[in-house]
Amino acid sequence: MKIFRLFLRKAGRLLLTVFIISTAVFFALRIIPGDPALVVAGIDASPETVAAIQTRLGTDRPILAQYEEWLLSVLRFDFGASLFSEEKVSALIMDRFPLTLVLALLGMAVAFLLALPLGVLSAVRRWSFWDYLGMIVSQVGMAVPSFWLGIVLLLMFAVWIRIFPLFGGEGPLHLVLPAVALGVNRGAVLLRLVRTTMIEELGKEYIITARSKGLPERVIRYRHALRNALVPVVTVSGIQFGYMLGGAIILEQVFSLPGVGRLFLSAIYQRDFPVVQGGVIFIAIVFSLINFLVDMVYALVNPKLQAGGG
Amino acid sequence: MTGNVLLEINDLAVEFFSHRRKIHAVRGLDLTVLPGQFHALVGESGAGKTVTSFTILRLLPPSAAVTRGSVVFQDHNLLTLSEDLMRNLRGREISMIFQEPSKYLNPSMKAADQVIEGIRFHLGYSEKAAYQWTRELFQRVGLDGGRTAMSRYPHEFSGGMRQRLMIAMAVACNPSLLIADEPTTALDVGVQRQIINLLQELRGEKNMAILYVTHDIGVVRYAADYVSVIYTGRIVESSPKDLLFANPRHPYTRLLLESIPSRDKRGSRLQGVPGSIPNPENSPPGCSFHPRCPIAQPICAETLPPMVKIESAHRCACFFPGKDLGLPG
Repeated sequence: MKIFRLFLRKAGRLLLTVFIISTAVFFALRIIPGDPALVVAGIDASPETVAAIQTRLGTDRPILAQYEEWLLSVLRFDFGASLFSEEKVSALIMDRFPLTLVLALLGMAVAFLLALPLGVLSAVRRWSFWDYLGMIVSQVGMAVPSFWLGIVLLLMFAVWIRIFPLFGGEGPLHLVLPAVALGVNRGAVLLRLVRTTMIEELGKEYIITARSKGLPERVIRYRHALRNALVPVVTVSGIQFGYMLGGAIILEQVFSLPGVGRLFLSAIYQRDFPVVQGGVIFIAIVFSLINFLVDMVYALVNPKLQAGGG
Repeated sequence: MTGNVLLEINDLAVEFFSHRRKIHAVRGLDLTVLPGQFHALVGESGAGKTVTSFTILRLLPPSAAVTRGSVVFQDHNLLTLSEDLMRNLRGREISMIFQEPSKYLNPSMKAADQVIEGIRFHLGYSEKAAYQWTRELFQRVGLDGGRTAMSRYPHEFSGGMRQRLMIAMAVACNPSLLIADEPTTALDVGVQRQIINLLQELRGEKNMAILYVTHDIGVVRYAADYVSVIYTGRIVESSPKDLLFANPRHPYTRLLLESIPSRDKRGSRLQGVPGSIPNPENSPPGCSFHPRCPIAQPICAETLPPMVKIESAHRCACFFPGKDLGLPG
């Protein structure tokens, strides 16, 4: 029952967040100077044309009526159509989002592949070669921005040694370098965390109990210590995943991948308001949704939050 | 060694190194546990009781080192045994329960799983057989053997139930020695008695010796067969319980026994042991108890008194055993 109440509370918070962001986006776009109708029609357009476009966009109506319609459109996930291509914004986003999502997921996988084995090894063999390697990797990984690493990787593995393609978004091979560029940066943070929490857990008394039972060191490390060490790691990696989506948007530029990042960026350049508006809301929803899922997963891995607990 | 001894510790010394300082936690300790015996190791905190019990299972932290002596269990010197063989003994022949079960249980593992893993590892039981055996153990130690209790997490149990769970884990493979490190100190008085009774019953059923580490003389009087009194890492007196309580010889033992309330001492002040245990970093020379001892003589500060026989199995390390302490009342 406890977990169900938690679910309701977190879901409520999710809805509230989306509502607040929708409101902020709506008013921000109304406060910024510049009439979208003028952008569409051009500055030389006649007042009649501008008025006609205002009517089409609905910007001539009272602000509260517009606000009401905006909130409804957020609920329906319908942000109108692009001012230029006249395609529906939701269709544009859903068309591009899978690539961004896959990129972020691959980045996350790279981060885990880096952080888990090296983090555990660093904790178990403290001050060994592996520990120093882990420290260097995490220091460098945190210091180097992912877009820079992306450019370097492109130079090394697409220009000098031509293993991976330089441009475009066809096929899985195109995602390898951006995923590595994304994952190293976030993995560096997770690596430190895995090492710290693992050292902490290995120093706890229940590890002595596990040893007193005669269990092999491997079982003590993975079944006992790592399981408990992962509780904070899950939380942090959820937040990391949010950043990963942000990072994916930047890396789409570096690697010329047609994801949502490129869509939103070109919309901003073109003052394509419906797309910008929809894009901001969409990112906010995805971010809140991830946080919501992280909270739920955290409740599942942490038995103290489960049903019947005291 | 004789076939009738389960555990024999000879001249054991353990040192801790911290910040380049040496701490002598155990300094020449001798202890013998017979099969099926309830052997109480009594002393104040800091006397080296826990270090001794951790040494037997070789669970000391890396900052500690055994510098002298031997620990012989069933003809194996545990201090020189390979790590693999040691692992086979842990949990199977020698197991341990601890003072604070809430800390010594894995918080994210279901109660039954914590028992099952040892059974499967040591006895090679199938998943199903191990589960069945765990269910019986749960019932035996007084935990509900139903599916719900078995799939609970430690934090959902009370302190007494957690200790019962620890006991189920410890006796799962029918060990011949159970080391109990102050297992009831953190529990309510009523629950303490239940846990000790449970240990007594299991000892009888499984012919298992118990090395019971405690500072509680009341528990010793209630449950032990044999008592070893430890002071600054050495045994100062050891004896069958009845002989010891009837005729304590070492001044430390006598002051310890004076410190428990009883009916015939009603109205008089409880005595207790004056002073406090010396800093293990620089323990006094000679008999380390002499600064607190009411009958200390110059020789006590110079020479370490040897263990001498009082009668049958009763032994004491004091130059003036049984001398009048001049206590009031």
